[in-house]
Amino acid sequence: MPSSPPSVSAHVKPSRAWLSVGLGVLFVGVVLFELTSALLSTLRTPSWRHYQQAGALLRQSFVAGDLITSAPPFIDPLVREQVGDLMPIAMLGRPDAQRYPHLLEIALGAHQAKDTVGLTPDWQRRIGPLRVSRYSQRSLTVTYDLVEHFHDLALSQRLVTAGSDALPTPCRWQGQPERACPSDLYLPVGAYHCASGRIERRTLELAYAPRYGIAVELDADRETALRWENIPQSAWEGAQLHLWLALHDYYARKNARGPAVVQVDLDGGLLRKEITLTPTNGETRVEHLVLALPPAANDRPLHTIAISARADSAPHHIVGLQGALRR
Amino acid sequence: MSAPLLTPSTAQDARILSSAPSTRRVITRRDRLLAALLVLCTTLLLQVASRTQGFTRDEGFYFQAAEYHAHYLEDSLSGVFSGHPLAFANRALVDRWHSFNSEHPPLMKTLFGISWRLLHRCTCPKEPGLHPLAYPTPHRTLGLLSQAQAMRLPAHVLTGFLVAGLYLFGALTLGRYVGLLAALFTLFQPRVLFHSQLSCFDAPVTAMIFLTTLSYLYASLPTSRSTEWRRAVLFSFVLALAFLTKLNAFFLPPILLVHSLWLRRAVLRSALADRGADRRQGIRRWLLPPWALCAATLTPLFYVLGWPHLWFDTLQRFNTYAAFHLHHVHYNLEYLGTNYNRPPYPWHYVPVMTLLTQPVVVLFLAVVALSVWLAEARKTADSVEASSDRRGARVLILLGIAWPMLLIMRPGTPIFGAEKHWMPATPFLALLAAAGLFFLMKRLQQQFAAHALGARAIPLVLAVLALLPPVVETARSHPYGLSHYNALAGGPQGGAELGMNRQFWGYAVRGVLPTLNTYARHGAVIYFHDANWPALQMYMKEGVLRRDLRDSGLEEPGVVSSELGLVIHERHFNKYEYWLWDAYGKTQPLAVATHYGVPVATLYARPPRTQCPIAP
Repeated sequence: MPSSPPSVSAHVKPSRAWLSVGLGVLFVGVVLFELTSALLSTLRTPSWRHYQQAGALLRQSFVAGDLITSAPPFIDPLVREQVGDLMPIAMLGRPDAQRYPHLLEIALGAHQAKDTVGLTPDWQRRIGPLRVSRYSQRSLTVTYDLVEHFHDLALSQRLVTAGSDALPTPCRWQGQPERACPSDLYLPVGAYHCASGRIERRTLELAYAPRYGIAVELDADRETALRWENIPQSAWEGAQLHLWLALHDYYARKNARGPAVVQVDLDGGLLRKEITLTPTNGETRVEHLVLALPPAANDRPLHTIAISARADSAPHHIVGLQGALRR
Repeated sequence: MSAPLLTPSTAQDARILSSAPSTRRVITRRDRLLAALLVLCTTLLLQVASRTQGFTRDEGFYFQAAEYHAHYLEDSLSGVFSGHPLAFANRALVDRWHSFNSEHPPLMKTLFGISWRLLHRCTCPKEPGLHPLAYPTPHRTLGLLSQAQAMRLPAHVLTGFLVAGLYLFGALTLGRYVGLLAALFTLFQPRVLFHSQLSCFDAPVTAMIFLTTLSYLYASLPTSRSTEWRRAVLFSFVLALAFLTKLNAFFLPPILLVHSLWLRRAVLRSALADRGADRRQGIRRWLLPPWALCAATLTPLFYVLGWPHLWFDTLQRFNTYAAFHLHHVHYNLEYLGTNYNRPPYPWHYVPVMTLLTQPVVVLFLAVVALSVWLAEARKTADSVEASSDRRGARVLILLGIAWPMLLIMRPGTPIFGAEKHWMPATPFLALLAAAGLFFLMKRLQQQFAAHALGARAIPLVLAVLALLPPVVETARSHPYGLSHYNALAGGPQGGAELGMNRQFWGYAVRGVLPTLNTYARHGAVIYFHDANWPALQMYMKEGVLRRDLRDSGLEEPGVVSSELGLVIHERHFNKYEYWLWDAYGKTQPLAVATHYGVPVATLYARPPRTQCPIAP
């Protein structure tokens, strides 16, 4: 037989009218909220033409040395689709925006890139749901960039288990040279190969963000050393050493057990600092180390930065680093 | 009143249950017609929708397995016609066709294979290298569907059965209005619709778990002794089909048994009041109702019979199967801005994802129903027997929501497929929400009883209002259902801002394939990232991807040797994009596929020699 009235309300006592009406109004409110949200979401979605116009506007104002940034981060590929030719890897893989005097931003709605927080725009223009802005800031001068001087590095590796007086073995370049234009290069760029592991300059993935820096692949029982020698006094004087460090590559981090230890040594022991990088921390943050440089002595026209790294429980530890002397 | 869920096995039981409602819900001819219509409409909807749906990684594997399974059946039939009727049980034959992808049971793969073998428009001889097997001559088929549509059809039909089953469940317990609304709430759930389109197991196992629960309900209805046993056998068969669909069905029988024991606790009370043999018999009757007895004995038999791979070295192979899932690799999943790929996982992942992916109106109505049910449960706590039938249905629905979620909420359970692993909860959530709307409808009808027209219009108006947001959201979510988030999250853009998982399975490549087809030179080598070769083969067979294009291979060597490369946007996949920058010396993409402004896949092209990009 066909059913009798269902059960849900069968035992509900009649209650005050306002409860029924209130619930009905709330229900209609939820329906309207969901439909309106869908409509607004569509209206707030920039079209390809909006990005094209924003890109054209930005391109008019762009001067070499400016930083292009976007917000929220997920629109980054859409911005690069328009003006990616103005955005080299080093710009996208920057440690921060401090070295750029001018910033151009394409932002969605009310979003703002973390690079421009606290800055007042020189000008701003709306293009549909997008906003194009230009900012100026007092920039820091980079007097010596460790990544730029990658090929000036003295690289070596030492077997830790052989004792403290074990001689280091130099790491040698193998493979294709780095090229400015890899369009005709269907081979991987070369790297410095140590007795175990390699050291290369590349776009790193540190905490899931791009960082153009140096990757140091570690092995258990071995300490890898990077030495920038002959840093001129003019770069050293009045500067601070900024280092950004984390474990590179999510898959390596996933399989890594235990930390990597990085030691920084300035001018042959005048200043030493040790930092521990764990796979867990590397998932979410890049360690930023700022070191005041030891005062320059008259008899020392050239300076040295030495960074050594080891991980007792390697493999799967690839230290990613960026560094610069800034004034 | 609802049908009694208790089964009075004896006159004594019947006496105990004398307080059960006398008005019994039955399935009428009209119900069956409506259920059939729901199956048909759902199948048609999914067939149409899936024509623009990208192929997922896992589908690629199942497409391959399906052709193997079809071949197994063909070889078995050939054996019958050539005087070797037992050829199907030949170990070499079974191992040849059933060893691939034996970490999953065979039912759906076999159905995909049968559907493909019977229905596809065959151009197989012209597709060398695009099938796991060589086909020198075309298949004789009905030629009704493309290869992909034929492969996907069984999942579509099974979702149709789920939708129809929901209606029948409602008709048996909470009413037809509730059943019909629950059916539509389930169909128009963005993530359910996404998974239902695919040749995968997640929508099918959602359907099978629900249909098993429905057959439990059916087997528990009071009826004659012989019918009761027939229904119990039917239940054991449906349960075996669920086991043969996907592993998560194994968790269902204990839940049903607990429900049954709780619901029939009066039988235990009565048995404990007896002495001697009557007492033992009563306890046995309480512990093992006919459906449970059949499930314990017949289901394992049906299960092994249905899986040829288990016909040999049965225990060892079953252990291997179980071990694969017990020690499943931990994949990557982004949640609130953090990429998780090893335990412990946050327990709140399941409720938060549910909160941000279900239509808001469904969540609201579910809360209404739950509040009403809890209030009523408190009021009727003293008259347990009187309300046991209604409460039984409600508890069954709440258990159906809870167990799939609780299973994944355990911090050690690998989370590798987002909401699809607790998707079996969705039909029950839809039932709860539909009950909430029914409650609201009744209250408003009481309120407006004086206005005859208004009172009559209320059910329809409320149903349309309640269904409008899910329908709109589901339509909007297509074809990037996994990137879609509800209004609470702020839509797809809100989901991206919150750092919620953008997608998985690599199906979004379809969005950039038109540009790739236009731009790539003849025979170009492409880095396809997370889209696997079997899925790409299907794109080629369907005419979505040019057949002259070649795959550059996996990981960084594949990126370095490619002319064009694409990246699928998931947080842990960022490094692949950086590899492309390094290999091509540029950061400007050729094309970006988006879902409501959120990038889902990006295509890069290596610059020509004459156009040197800005160096790092």
